[in-house]
Amino acid sequence: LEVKEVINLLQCKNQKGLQHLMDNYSAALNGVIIRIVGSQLVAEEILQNTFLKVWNNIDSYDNTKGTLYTWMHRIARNAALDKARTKGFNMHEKTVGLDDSVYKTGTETDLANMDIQKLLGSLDEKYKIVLDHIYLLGYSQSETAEKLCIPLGTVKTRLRYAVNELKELVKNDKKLFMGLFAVLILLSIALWN
Amino acid sequence: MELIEIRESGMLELYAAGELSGREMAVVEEHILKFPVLSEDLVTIGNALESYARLF
Repeated sequence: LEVKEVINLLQCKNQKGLQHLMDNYSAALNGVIIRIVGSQLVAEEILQNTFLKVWNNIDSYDNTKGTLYTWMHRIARNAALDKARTKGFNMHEKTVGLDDSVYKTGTETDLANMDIQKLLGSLDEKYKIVLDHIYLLGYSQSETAEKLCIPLGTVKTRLRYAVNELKELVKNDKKLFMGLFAVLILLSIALWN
Repeated sequence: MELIEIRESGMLELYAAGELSGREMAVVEEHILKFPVLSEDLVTIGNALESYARLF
């Protein structure tokens, strides 16, 4: 399903739209939520509430302000941060780290992602760490600056650099995929003849 | 801010990452109205970040 179709289904209150969201976005959103709240049980509750919010408020989604995923990520991140604050724990001490235990297993990671993961190795750690703190761990800009002992302006420039690198990786990855696809088509034609 | 300034400010990336205050979000949104091409920037940034989130 195209994202546009999913949005249409949600706007028409068709359960298939909700099912599609749950099937396709649960893992990514859960990864962000659990790093902020540090508990799978709490994360599941927040994830369900996130989907419920998306379902109830789909008419307020505005595609000029970003992708559907961007919007859902913001809802999930805010809900997780609210929960972490109300529980009164020091969330950043209790968050699940970026260790292997929360990485997807090989079977769940598709080929395209594995390629990006390999290519990501080329992204300098000082940029990646800013991206991880803000995007995956729910840190604010100023918390990130303090934790990493860098000025606030540097947080912004490093995040921007990391995202730019990521954009290139995604672009190249698509090219690689299209290239492989073309080779396969040519091979099948050759074999057929 | 002019188009180049908002693009280079890092605010679009922070906006897509969900890390801007309500006031800062309003600033970005005013610029989207002023420069509709920024919606395309946000799609590219959003897709890149989504691919990243899917790695974990």
